[in-house]
Amino acid sequence: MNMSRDDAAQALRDIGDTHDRVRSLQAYKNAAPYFMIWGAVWLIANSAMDLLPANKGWAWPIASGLGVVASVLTGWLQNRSRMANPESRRFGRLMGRRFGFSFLAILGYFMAAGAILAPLAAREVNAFISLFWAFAYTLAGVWAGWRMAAVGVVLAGLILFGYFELHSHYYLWMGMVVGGALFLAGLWLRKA
Amino acid sequence: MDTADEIIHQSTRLKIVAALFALTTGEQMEFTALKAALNATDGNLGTHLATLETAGYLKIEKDFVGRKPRTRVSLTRSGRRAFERHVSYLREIIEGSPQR
Repeated sequence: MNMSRDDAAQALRDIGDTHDRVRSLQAYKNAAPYFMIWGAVWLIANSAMDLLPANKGWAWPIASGLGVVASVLTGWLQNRSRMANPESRRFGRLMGRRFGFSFLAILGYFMAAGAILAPLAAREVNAFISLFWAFAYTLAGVWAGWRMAAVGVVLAGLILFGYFELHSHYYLWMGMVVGGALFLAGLWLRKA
Repeated sequence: MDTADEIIHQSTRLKIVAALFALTTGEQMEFTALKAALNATDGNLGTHLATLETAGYLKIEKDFVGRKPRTRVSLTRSGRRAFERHVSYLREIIEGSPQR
């Protein structure tokens, strides 16, 4: 079989495009359940802050605790089928450690930033942490695919609008609209 | 110099194998996900998957999730090697002999 340089170059471009598309779709598929879990966490915790002010001190610790448990369980379920392969098992453990240390680094950043910026009102802390995640999704999207980046940009816009324009029902906005949007974004990524 | 693989050479089959090669070794991809990734039709994809399976380049597993049928495909060791050889052949054409 004889192949021209142009045909060979086109075939390599096709391979590169296919790799990129599969990696984006895999990233969307893997990320979708976490977006849905944390969308539900944002929805419940923020709505409770507005609708049940007497219990607002408990809303975030309980909801985010459940979110962490659901995320760990999801990660285990996602990787269970791959664990039969020793190479994948080693890779899975490496990724698990990386995610764990990344989470600790982010937690450290929040604590350090909180110490520098203190005193902050609860609303400011809420907007600050939520915005961090919105921009993290945008950054992840730059590498993983445009849908994830778009989700981050939309969330950041909604958070900023709520913070600057809505004063009396900021938490309800953060719950129903921003949390709802994050949950729907998970469904959108799953259907990609 | 590596030679062209007559089976992988065809455009849709090349994309199928490229898509499966992007996964970790032995990892499976559902038929529906592969169809979405390649923008292929059911019939076209099915025909090419059968050709690749006959050549021993991929493994097709069919089962049910509840009542829904599910088809999953993965690249075999032989398929991975054939793809690597074919890519190497393509690179040699581009980097190598200018008279082609």
